[in-house]
Amino acid sequence: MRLFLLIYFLFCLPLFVSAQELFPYNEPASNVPKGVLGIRTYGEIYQEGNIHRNMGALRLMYGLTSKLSIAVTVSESNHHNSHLPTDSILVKHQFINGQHIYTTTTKQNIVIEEQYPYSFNGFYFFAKYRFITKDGQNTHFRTAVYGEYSTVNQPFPHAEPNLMMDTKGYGGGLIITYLKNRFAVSLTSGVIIPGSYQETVAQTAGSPVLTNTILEYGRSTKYNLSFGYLVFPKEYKNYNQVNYNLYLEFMGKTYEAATVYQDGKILPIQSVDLSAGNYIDVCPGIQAIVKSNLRIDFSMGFNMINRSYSHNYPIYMIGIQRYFFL
Amino acid sequence: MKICLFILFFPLLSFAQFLSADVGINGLTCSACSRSVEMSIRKLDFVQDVQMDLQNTRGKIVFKEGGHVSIDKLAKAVTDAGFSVRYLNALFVVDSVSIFNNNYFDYENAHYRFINAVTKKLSGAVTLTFIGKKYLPKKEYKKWKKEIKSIYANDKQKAYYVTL
Repeated sequence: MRLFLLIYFLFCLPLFVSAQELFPYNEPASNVPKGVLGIRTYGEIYQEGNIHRNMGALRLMYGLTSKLSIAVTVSESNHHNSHLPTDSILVKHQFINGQHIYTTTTKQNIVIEEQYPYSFNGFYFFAKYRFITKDGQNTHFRTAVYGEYSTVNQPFPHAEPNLMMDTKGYGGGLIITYLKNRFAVSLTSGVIIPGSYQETVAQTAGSPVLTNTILEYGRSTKYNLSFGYLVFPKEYKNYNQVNYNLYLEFMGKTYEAATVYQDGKILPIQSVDLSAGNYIDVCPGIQAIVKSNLRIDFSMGFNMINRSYSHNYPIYMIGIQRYFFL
Repeated sequence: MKICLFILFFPLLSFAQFLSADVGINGLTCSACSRSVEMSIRKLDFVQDVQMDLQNTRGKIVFKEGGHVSIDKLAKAVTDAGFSVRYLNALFVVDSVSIFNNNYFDYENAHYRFINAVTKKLSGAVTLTFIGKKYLPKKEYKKWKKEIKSIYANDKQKAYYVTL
Protein backbone atom coordinates (compact mmCIF):
# COMPACT_ATOMS: atom_id res chain seq x y z
CA MET A 1 0.00 0.00 0.00
CA ARG A 2 2.76 2.41 0.97
CA LEU A 3 4.57 1.57 -2.26
CA PHE A 4 1.42 2.38 -4.19
CA LEU A 5 1.09 5.75 -2.47
CA LEU A 6 4.76 6.52 -3.02
CA ILE A 7 4.40 5.81 -6.74
CA TYR A 8 1.24 7.90 -6.78
CA PHE A 9 2.95 10.91 -5.25
CA LEU A 10 6.25 10.65 -7.12
CA PHE A 11 4.96 10.03 -10.59
CA CYS A 12 1.46 11.36 -10.72
CA LEU A 13 1.49 14.62 -8.78
CA PRO A 14 3.99 16.42 -11.04
CA LEU A 15 1.77 15.65 -14.04
CA PHE A 16 -1.19 17.48 -12.61
CA VAL A 17 -2.11 20.53 -14.55
CA SER A 18 -5.59 21.58 -13.52
CA ALA A 19 -8.10 21.24 -10.77
CA GLN A 20 -11.35 19.46 -10.14
CA GLU A 21 -13.64 19.34 -7.16
CA LEU A 22 -15.86 16.47 -8.22
CA PHE A 23 -14.43 14.25 -5.50
CA PRO A 24 -15.43 10.56 -5.53
CA TYR A 25 -16.10 10.45 -1.77
CA ASN A 26 -16.64 13.96 -0.50
CA GLU A 27 -19.10 16.60 -1.59
CA PRO A 28 -17.61 19.99 -2.54
CA ALA A 29 -19.17 23.21 -1.24
CA SER A 30 -20.54 23.83 -4.76
CA ASN A 31 -24.07 22.69 -5.54
CA VAL A 32 -26.01 20.85 -8.16
CA PRO A 33 -27.13 23.64 -10.55
CA LYS A 34 -30.69 24.91 -10.02
CA GLY A 35 -33.31 22.73 -11.68
CA VAL A 36 -30.82 20.02 -12.56
CA LEU A 37 -31.30 16.37 -11.62
CA GLY A 38 -28.20 14.32 -10.93
CA ILE A 39 -28.25 10.54 -10.82
CA ARG A 40 -25.37 8.66 -9.32
CA THR A 41 -24.95 4.95 -8.89
CA TYR A 42 -21.97 3.51 -7.13
CA GLY A 43 -20.71 0.39 -5.49
CA GLU A 44 -18.12 -0.56 -2.92
CA ILE A 45 -16.41 -3.88 -2.43
CA TYR A 46 -13.93 -5.27 0.05
CA GLN A 47 -12.93 -8.71 1.17
CA GLU A 48 -13.44 -10.26 4.59
CA GLY A 49 -11.75 -13.62 4.72
CA ASN A 50 -13.08 -15.39 1.64
CA ILE A 51 -16.21 -13.30 1.55
CA HIS A 52 -16.77 -10.32 -0.73
CA ARG A 53 -18.71 -7.59 1.02
CA ASN A 54 -20.59 -5.52 -1.54
CA MET A 55 -22.63 -2.36 -1.32
CA GLY A 56 -24.63 -0.80 -4.13
CA ALA A 57 -26.25 2.62 -3.96
CA LEU A 58 -28.42 4.87 -6.09
CA ARG A 59 -28.49 8.60 -5.43
CA LEU A 60 -30.83 11.23 -6.83
CA MET A 61 -29.66 14.84 -6.47
CA TYR A 62 -31.52 18.00 -7.30
CA GLY A 63 -30.68 21.70 -7.29
CA LEU A 64 -33.60 23.39 -5.52
CA THR A 65 -32.02 26.83 -5.79
CA SER A 66 -28.61 28.01 -6.89
CA LYS A 67 -27.45 27.62 -3.29
CA LEU A 68 -29.48 24.71 -1.95
CA SER A 69 -29.32 21.16 -3.21
CA ILE A 70 -30.85 17.97 -1.85
CA ALA A 71 -30.15 14.30 -2.37
CA VAL A 72 -31.65 10.99 -1.44
CA THR A 73 -29.69 7.74 -1.52
CA VAL A 74 -30.92 4.18 -1.29
CA SER A 75 -28.49 1.36 -0.78
CA GLU A 76 -28.34 -2.40 -0.48
CA SER A 77 -25.50 -4.58 0.75
CA ASN A 78 -24.49 -7.98 2.06
CA HIS A 79 -22.83 -6.40 5.10
CA HIS A 80 -25.39 -7.36 7.70
CA ASN A 81 -26.83 -10.44 9.26
CA SER A 82 -30.55 -10.48 9.98
CA HIS A 83 -29.80 -9.96 13.69
CA LEU A 84 -26.92 -9.05 15.99
CA PRO A 85 -24.49 -11.79 17.03
CA THR A 86 -26.39 -13.72 19.64
CA ASP A 87 -25.50 -14.18 23.28
CA SER A 88 -23.01 -11.93 25.05
CA ILE A 89 -20.47 -12.68 22.28
CA LEU A 90 -21.61 -9.41 20.80
CA VAL A 91 -19.52 -7.52 23.32
CA LYS A 92 -16.63 -9.98 23.35
CA HIS A 93 -15.93 -10.74 19.72
CA GLN A 94 -12.43 -10.24 18.44
CA PHE A 95 -10.92 -8.79 15.33
CA ILE A 96 -7.98 -10.81 13.97
CA ASN A 97 -6.37 -10.55 10.54
CA GLY A 98 -9.19 -8.49 9.09
CA GLN A 99 -11.89 -10.84 10.29
CA HIS A 100 -14.46 -10.62 13.04
CA ILE A 101 -14.31 -13.77 15.12
CA TYR A 102 -17.18 -14.69 17.41
CA THR A 103 -16.50 -17.25 20.11
CA THR A 104 -19.77 -18.50 21.48
CA THR A 105 -19.94 -18.97 25.22
CA THR A 106 -22.26 -21.93 25.04
CA LYS A 107 -20.51 -24.07 22.47
CA GLN A 108 -16.99 -22.70 22.76
CA ASN A 109 -16.58 -22.78 19.00
CA ILE A 110 -15.32 -20.08 16.71
CA VAL A 111 -17.60 -18.52 14.15
CA ILE A 112 -15.90 -16.44 11.52
CA GLU A 113 -18.01 -13.86 9.68
CA GLU A 114 -20.27 -15.62 7.28
CA GLN A 115 -21.98 -14.82 4.02
CA TYR A 116 -25.02 -12.66 4.61
CA PRO A 117 -27.87 -12.15 2.18
CA TYR A 118 -28.25 -8.85 0.34
CA SER A 119 -30.64 -6.55 2.09
CA PHE A 120 -32.05 -3.10 1.52
CA ASN A 121 -30.36 -0.69 3.94
CA GLY A 122 -32.77 2.23 3.85
CA PHE A 123 -32.95 5.87 2.85
CA TYR A 124 -30.32 8.52 3.38
CA PHE A 125 -31.17 12.21 2.93
CA PHE A 126 -28.64 14.97 2.40
CA ALA A 127 -29.05 18.73 2.02
CA LYS A 128 -26.37 21.31 1.37
CA TYR A 129 -26.55 25.09 1.49
CA ARG A 130 -23.76 27.22 0.07
CA PHE A 131 -23.43 30.43 2.06
CA ILE A 132 -20.10 31.97 1.06
CA THR A 133 -19.13 32.31 -2.58
CA LYS A 134 -16.02 34.13 -3.66
CA ASP A 135 -15.60 33.53 -7.37
CA GLY A 136 -12.78 34.72 -9.58
CA GLN A 137 -11.62 33.74 -13.03
CA ASN A 138 -10.57 30.07 -12.77
CA THR A 139 -10.80 30.20 -9.01
CA HIS A 140 -13.33 30.02 -6.25
CA PHE A 141 -13.60 29.82 -2.50
CA ARG A 142 -16.88 28.45 -1.22
CA THR A 143 -18.30 27.28 2.04
CA ALA A 144 -21.45 25.31 2.66
CA VAL A 145 -23.29 23.75 5.55
CA TYR A 146 -24.81 20.32 5.21
CA GLY A 147 -27.31 18.19 7.07
CA GLU A 148 -27.84 14.46 6.75
CA TYR A 149 -30.46 12.03 7.99
CA SER A 150 -30.60 8.27 7.73
CA THR A 151 -33.42 5.77 8.18
CA VAL A 152 -31.04 2.80 7.93
CA ASN A 153 -31.63 0.36 10.75
CA GLN A 154 -29.37 -2.64 10.36
CA PRO A 155 -27.99 -5.02 13.02
CA PHE A 156 -24.57 -3.42 12.88
CA PRO A 157 -22.27 -4.66 15.68
CA HIS A 158 -19.75 -1.77 15.68
CA ALA A 159 -19.38 1.47 17.59
CA GLU A 160 -18.58 3.55 14.50
CA PRO A 161 -21.74 5.03 12.99
CA ASN A 162 -22.16 5.03 9.20
CA LEU A 163 -25.33 6.89 8.38
CA MET A 164 -25.89 5.83 4.83
CA MET A 165 -25.04 2.15 5.05
CA ASP A 166 -25.34 0.90 8.61
CA THR A 167 -26.95 3.15 11.17
CA LYS A 168 -29.79 5.58 11.49
CA GLY A 169 -29.38 9.04 12.89
CA TYR A 170 -28.52 12.52 11.72
CA GLY A 171 -25.52 14.73 11.29
CA GLY A 172 -24.32 18.05 10.03
CA GLY A 173 -21.23 20.03 9.33
CA LEU A 174 -19.26 22.43 7.22
CA ILE A 175 -17.61 22.13 3.82
CA ILE A 176 -14.87 24.52 2.74
CA THR A 177 -13.65 24.25 -0.84
CA TYR A 178 -10.89 26.23 -2.46
CA LEU A 179 -10.04 25.96 -6.09
CA LYS A 180 -7.21 27.79 -7.81
CA ASN A 181 -6.25 27.20 -11.42
CA ARG A 182 -4.84 23.70 -11.27
CA PHE A 183 -5.42 22.81 -7.66
CA ALA A 184 -8.54 21.98 -5.66
CA VAL A 185 -8.79 21.26 -1.97
CA SER A 186 -11.83 20.68 0.20
CA LEU A 187 -12.34 20.12 3.89
CA THR A 188 -15.46 18.41 5.19
CA SER A 189 -15.95 18.45 8.91
CA GLY A 190 -19.01 17.44 10.85
CA VAL A 191 -20.69 15.44 13.56
CA ILE A 192 -22.81 12.31 13.44
CA ILE A 193 -25.45 11.68 16.07
CA PRO A 194 -26.51 8.10 15.48
CA GLY A 195 -29.73 6.48 16.61
CA SER A 196 -29.69 3.13 18.35
CA TYR A 197 -30.52 -0.33 17.05
CA GLN A 198 -32.93 -2.52 18.94
CA GLU A 199 -34.02 -6.13 18.51
CA THR A 200 -35.89 -8.75 20.49
CA VAL A 201 -34.92 -12.22 19.35
CA ALA A 202 -34.63 -15.75 20.71
CA GLN A 203 -31.27 -16.39 22.36
CA THR A 204 -30.95 -19.65 20.48
CA ALA A 205 -32.96 -20.83 17.51
CA GLY A 206 -36.34 -22.14 18.55
CA SER A 207 -35.99 -21.01 22.13
CA PRO A 208 -39.10 -19.45 23.63
CA VAL A 209 -36.93 -17.08 25.71
CA LEU A 210 -36.58 -13.73 24.00
CA THR A 211 -33.72 -11.35 24.61
CA ASN A 212 -33.98 -7.63 24.09
CA THR A 213 -30.77 -5.97 22.90
CA ILE A 214 -30.25 -2.26 22.40
CA LEU A 215 -27.06 -1.05 20.78
CA GLU A 216 -26.34 2.64 21.15
CA TYR A 217 -23.66 3.71 18.69
CA GLY A 218 -20.98 6.24 19.52
CA ARG A 219 -21.35 9.88 18.54
CA SER A 220 -18.79 10.72 15.95
CA THR A 221 -16.90 13.58 14.34
CA LYS A 222 -15.52 13.34 10.86
CA TYR A 223 -12.78 15.34 9.18
CA ASN A 224 -12.14 14.64 5.56
CA LEU A 225 -9.63 16.39 3.35
CA SER A 226 -9.78 16.04 -0.43
CA PHE A 227 -7.37 17.10 -3.14
CA GLY A 228 -8.18 17.08 -6.83
CA TYR A 229 -6.31 17.70 -10.07
CA LEU A 230 -7.18 17.65 -13.73
CA VAL A 231 -4.64 15.68 -15.76
CA PHE A 232 -6.23 16.04 -19.18
CA PRO A 233 -7.05 18.06 -21.20
CA LYS A 234 -4.24 20.54 -20.78
CA GLU A 235 -6.24 23.06 -22.74
CA TYR A 236 -10.01 23.07 -23.01
CA LYS A 237 -11.23 23.06 -26.59
CA ASN A 238 -14.66 21.50 -26.55
CA TYR A 239 -17.07 19.43 -24.48
CA ASN A 240 -16.13 16.20 -26.24
CA GLN A 241 -12.67 16.02 -24.72
CA VAL A 242 -12.59 13.34 -22.07
CA ASN A 243 -11.44 14.89 -18.78
CA TYR A 244 -9.21 12.79 -16.52
CA ASN A 245 -8.92 13.81 -12.89
CA LEU A 246 -6.84 12.41 -10.10
CA TYR A 247 -7.90 12.61 -6.47
CA LEU A 248 -6.43 11.99 -3.09
CA GLU A 249 -8.87 11.97 -0.20
CA PHE A 250 -8.20 11.54 3.49
CA MET A 251 -11.18 10.27 5.45
CA GLY A 252 -10.87 10.81 9.19
CA LYS A 253 -13.29 9.80 11.91
CA THR A 254 -13.38 9.76 15.70
CA TYR A 255 -16.16 7.96 17.53
CA GLU A 256 -17.23 7.15 21.04
CA ALA A 257 -17.72 3.66 22.42
CA ALA A 258 -21.03 1.93 21.93
CA THR A 259 -23.29 1.02 24.80
CA VAL A 260 -25.00 -2.36 24.76
CA TYR A 261 -28.09 -3.08 26.86
CA GLN A 262 -29.33 -6.63 27.11
CA ASP A 263 -32.66 -7.04 28.89
CA GLY A 264 -32.10 -3.70 30.57
CA LYS A 265 -28.56 -4.37 31.79
CA ILE A 266 -25.46 -2.72 30.40
CA LEU A 267 -22.98 -5.28 29.13
CA PRO A 268 -19.31 -4.47 29.64
CA ILE A 269 -17.63 -3.88 26.28
CA GLN A 270 -14.71 -6.19 25.59
CA SER A 271 -14.57 -5.95 21.83
CA VAL A 272 -12.47 -3.41 19.95
CA ASP A 273 -15.36 -3.10 17.47
CA LEU A 274 -17.58 -1.59 20.10
CA SER A 275 -14.91 0.55 21.77
CA ALA A 276 -14.11 4.18 21.05
CA GLY A 277 -11.74 4.72 18.19
CA ASN A 278 -10.36 6.96 15.51
CA TYR A 279 -8.76 6.42 12.14
CA ILE A 280 -7.75 8.08 8.90
CA ASP A 281 -8.14 6.29 5.59
CA VAL A 282 -6.46 7.48 2.43
CA CYS A 283 -8.33 7.08 -0.83
CA PRO A 284 -6.55 7.74 -4.12
CA GLY A 285 -8.90 7.87 -7.06
CA ILE A 286 -9.15 8.48 -10.77
CA GLN A 287 -12.08 9.91 -12.67
CA ALA A 288 -13.05 10.24 -16.32
CA ILE A 289 -15.68 12.74 -17.43
CA VAL A 290 -17.13 11.90 -20.83
CA LYS A 291 -18.77 14.62 -22.92
CA SER A 292 -18.53 16.99 -19.95
CA ASN A 293 -21.33 15.16 -18.17
CA LEU A 294 -20.96 11.41 -17.66
CA ARG A 295 -18.67 10.97 -14.70
CA ILE A 296 -16.94 7.66 -13.99
CA ASP A 297 -15.04 7.34 -10.69
CA PHE A 298 -12.73 4.68 -9.43
CA SER A 299 -11.22 4.91 -5.98
CA MET A 300 -9.39 2.71 -3.51
CA GLY A 301 -9.31 3.06 0.26
CA PHE A 302 -6.43 2.12 2.57
CA ASN A 303 -5.98 2.66 6.26
CA MET A 304 -3.30 5.24 6.99
CA ILE A 305 -3.63 5.92 10.72
CA ASN A 306 -5.34 3.18 12.76
CA ARG A 307 -8.23 1.51 11.01
CA SER A 308 -11.95 1.24 10.77
CA TYR A 309 -13.43 -1.97 12.18
CA SER A 310 -16.59 -1.63 10.18
CA HIS A 311 -14.90 -2.31 6.83
CA ASN A 312 -11.81 -4.06 5.61
CA TYR A 313 -8.97 -2.88 3.36
CA PRO A 314 -8.44 -2.21 0.57
CA ILE A 315 -11.90 -1.01 -0.23
CA TYR A 316 -12.70 -0.43 -3.91
CA MET A 317 -15.29 2.04 -5.10
CA ILE A 318 -16.68 2.58 -8.58
CA GLY A 319 -19.28 5.20 -9.41
CA ILE A 320 -21.13 6.59 -12.41
CA GLN A 321 -22.91 9.93 -12.37
CA ARG A 322 -24.80 12.05 -14.86
CA TYR A 323 -26.67 15.34 -14.82
CA PHE A 324 -30.04 15.75 -16.49
CA PHE A 325 -30.90 19.31 -17.43
CA LEU A 326 -34.65 19.35 -16.95
CA MET B 1 -25.31 41.23 -41.62
CA LYS B 2 -28.97 41.19 -42.66
CA ILE B 3 -29.74 43.59 -39.86
CA CYS B 4 -26.94 45.93 -40.87
CA LEU B 5 -28.32 46.05 -44.43
CA PHE B 6 -31.75 46.58 -43.00
CA ILE B 7 -30.56 49.59 -41.07
CA LEU B 8 -28.58 50.86 -44.05
CA PHE B 9 -31.53 50.92 -46.41
CA PHE B 10 -34.27 51.88 -44.01
CA PRO B 11 -32.65 54.44 -41.73
CA LEU B 12 -35.92 56.08 -40.81
CA LEU B 13 -37.56 52.96 -39.55
CA SER B 14 -37.29 52.83 -35.81
CA PHE B 15 -35.61 49.60 -34.85
CA ALA B 16 -33.86 48.44 -31.74
CA GLN B 17 -32.85 45.04 -30.51
CA PHE B 18 -30.33 43.19 -28.44
CA LEU B 19 -28.45 40.92 -30.83
CA SER B 20 -25.99 39.11 -28.63
CA ALA B 21 -24.16 39.18 -25.34
CA ASP B 22 -20.68 38.38 -24.17
CA VAL B 23 -20.68 37.13 -20.58
CA GLY B 24 -17.55 36.49 -18.52
CA ILE B 25 -18.14 33.81 -15.89
CA ASN B 26 -16.27 33.53 -12.62
CA GLY B 27 -15.78 30.40 -10.55
CA LEU B 28 -15.73 28.11 -13.58
CA THR B 29 -12.94 25.59 -13.69
CA CYS B 30 -14.19 22.54 -15.51
CA SER B 31 -15.91 21.68 -18.74
CA ALA B 32 -18.78 19.98 -16.88
CA CYS B 33 -19.42 23.26 -14.99
CA SER B 34 -19.23 25.20 -18.23
CA ARG B 35 -21.80 22.88 -19.72
CA SER B 36 -24.10 23.47 -16.75
CA VAL B 37 -23.93 27.23 -17.39
CA GLU B 38 -24.63 26.72 -21.08
CA MET B 39 -27.65 24.51 -20.37
CA SER B 40 -28.98 27.02 -17.85
CA ILE B 41 -28.72 29.87 -20.39
CA ARG B 42 -30.24 27.76 -23.16
CA LYS B 43 -33.41 27.40 -21.09
CA LEU B 44 -34.16 31.10 -21.61
CA ASP B 45 -36.84 31.55 -24.27
CA PHE B 46 -35.12 34.53 -25.90
CA VAL B 47 -31.82 32.71 -26.44
CA GLN B 48 -31.04 31.31 -29.88
CA ASP B 49 -27.54 29.95 -29.35
CA VAL B 50 -24.78 29.73 -26.75
CA GLN B 51 -21.11 29.21 -27.43
CA MET B 52 -18.91 28.73 -24.41
CA ASP B 53 -15.22 29.55 -24.46
CA LEU B 54 -14.02 27.02 -21.91
CA GLN B 55 -10.45 28.24 -21.83
CA ASN B 56 -11.36 31.86 -21.11
CA THR B 57 -14.52 31.03 -19.15
CA ARG B 58 -16.86 33.24 -21.14
CA GLY B 59 -19.95 32.69 -23.21
CA LYS B 60 -21.23 34.21 -26.41
CA ILE B 61 -25.00 34.30 -26.42
CA VAL B 62 -27.02 34.98 -29.56
CA PHE B 63 -30.56 36.21 -28.97
CA LYS B 64 -33.61 35.27 -31.01
CA GLU B 65 -34.77 37.86 -33.50
CA GLY B 66 -37.70 39.69 -31.94
CA GLY B 67 -37.17 37.94 -28.62
CA HIS B 68 -37.89 39.81 -25.40
CA VAL B 69 -34.40 39.91 -24.03
CA SER B 70 -34.01 40.21 -20.27
CA ILE B 71 -30.44 40.91 -19.20
CA ASP B 72 -31.50 40.17 -15.60
CA LYS B 73 -32.67 36.69 -16.53
CA LEU B 74 -29.45 36.09 -18.42
CA ALA B 75 -27.35 36.99 -15.36
CA LYS B 76 -29.61 34.86 -13.16
CA ALA B 77 -29.12 31.85 -15.42
CA VAL B 78 -25.41 32.07 -14.67
CA THR B 79 -25.90 32.30 -10.90
CA ASP B 80 -28.56 29.56 -10.98
CA ALA B 81 -25.93 27.24 -12.43
CA GLY B 82 -23.80 28.07 -9.39
CA PHE B 83 -21.41 30.65 -10.82
CA SER B 84 -20.91 34.41 -10.95
CA VAL B 85 -20.89 37.02 -13.70
CA ARG B 86 -17.49 38.64 -14.27
CA TYR B 87 -18.78 41.06 -16.90
CA LEU B 88 -21.79 41.35 -19.15
CA ASN B 89 -21.62 43.18 -22.47
CA ALA B 90 -24.59 43.18 -24.80
CA LEU B 91 -24.66 44.21 -28.44
CA PHE B 92 -27.59 46.57 -28.98
CA VAL B 93 -28.52 47.45 -32.53
CA VAL B 94 -30.55 50.56 -32.90
CA ASP B 95 -31.80 52.64 -35.78
CA SER B 96 -31.95 55.75 -33.70
CA VAL B 97 -32.65 56.28 -30.07
CA SER B 98 -32.63 59.57 -28.26
CA ILE B 99 -30.86 59.87 -24.98
CA PHE B 100 -32.98 61.92 -22.61
CA ASN B 101 -31.51 64.80 -20.66
CA ASN B 102 -30.91 62.73 -17.59
CA ASN B 103 -28.99 60.16 -19.60
CA TYR B 104 -31.35 57.34 -20.28
CA PHE B 105 -33.34 55.74 -23.04
CA ASP B 106 -36.31 53.44 -22.83
CA TYR B 107 -36.51 50.03 -24.38
CA GLU B 108 -39.17 47.39 -23.73
CA ASN B 109 -40.50 48.88 -20.50
CA ALA B 110 -37.10 49.41 -18.96
CA HIS B 111 -34.88 52.43 -18.47
CA TYR B 112 -31.29 52.10 -19.58
CA ARG B 113 -29.43 54.72 -17.58
CA PHE B 114 -25.99 55.74 -18.76
CA ILE B 115 -23.08 56.25 -16.49
CA ASN B 116 -20.75 58.78 -18.12
CA ALA B 117 -22.70 58.93 -21.38
CA VAL B 118 -21.72 61.64 -23.84
CA THR B 119 -23.82 61.17 -26.94
CA LYS B 120 -27.35 62.45 -27.35
CA LYS B 121 -28.37 59.85 -29.86
CA LEU B 122 -27.56 56.21 -30.28
CA SER B 123 -27.47 54.60 -33.70
CA GLY B 124 -25.98 51.51 -35.25
CA ALA B 125 -24.45 48.75 -33.21
CA VAL B 126 -23.41 49.72 -29.70
CA THR B 127 -21.99 47.56 -26.97
CA LEU B 128 -23.59 48.22 -23.63
CA THR B 129 -21.62 47.19 -20.57
CA PHE B 130 -23.94 46.45 -17.68
CA ILE B 131 -23.03 47.83 -14.28
CA GLY B 132 -24.57 46.33 -11.16
CA LYS B 133 -24.20 43.81 -8.40
CA LYS B 134 -25.48 41.06 -10.64
CA TYR B 135 -23.16 41.84 -13.50
CA LEU B 136 -19.84 42.49 -11.82
CA PRO B 137 -17.68 40.99 -9.06
CA LYS B 138 -18.10 42.77 -5.73
CA LYS B 139 -14.76 44.58 -5.93
CA GLU B 140 -15.46 45.83 -9.42
CA TYR B 141 -18.96 46.93 -8.49
CA LYS B 142 -17.66 48.97 -5.58
CA LYS B 143 -15.72 51.16 -8.03
CA TRP B 144 -18.97 52.12 -9.73
CA LYS B 145 -21.12 52.44 -6.63
CA LYS B 146 -20.55 56.16 -6.20
CA GLU B 147 -21.39 56.94 -9.78
CA ILE B 148 -24.55 54.85 -9.70
CA LYS B 149 -25.62 56.65 -6.56
CA SER B 150 -25.11 60.02 -8.22
CA ILE B 151 -27.48 59.19 -11.08
CA TYR B 152 -29.86 57.00 -9.09
CA ALA B 153 -33.50 57.77 -9.65
CA ASN B 154 -36.37 56.09 -7.94
CA ASP B 155 -37.60 54.48 -11.14
CA LYS B 156 -40.99 52.83 -11.09
CA GLN B 157 -39.98 50.58 -13.93
CA LYS B 158 -36.97 48.36 -14.26
CA ALA B 159 -33.74 50.34 -14.59
CA TYR B 160 -30.45 49.04 -15.91
CA TYR B 161 -27.23 50.96 -15.42
CA VAL B 162 -25.00 50.79 -18.46
CA THR B 163 -21.91 52.34 -19.92
CA LEU B 164 -20.56 52.45 -23.45
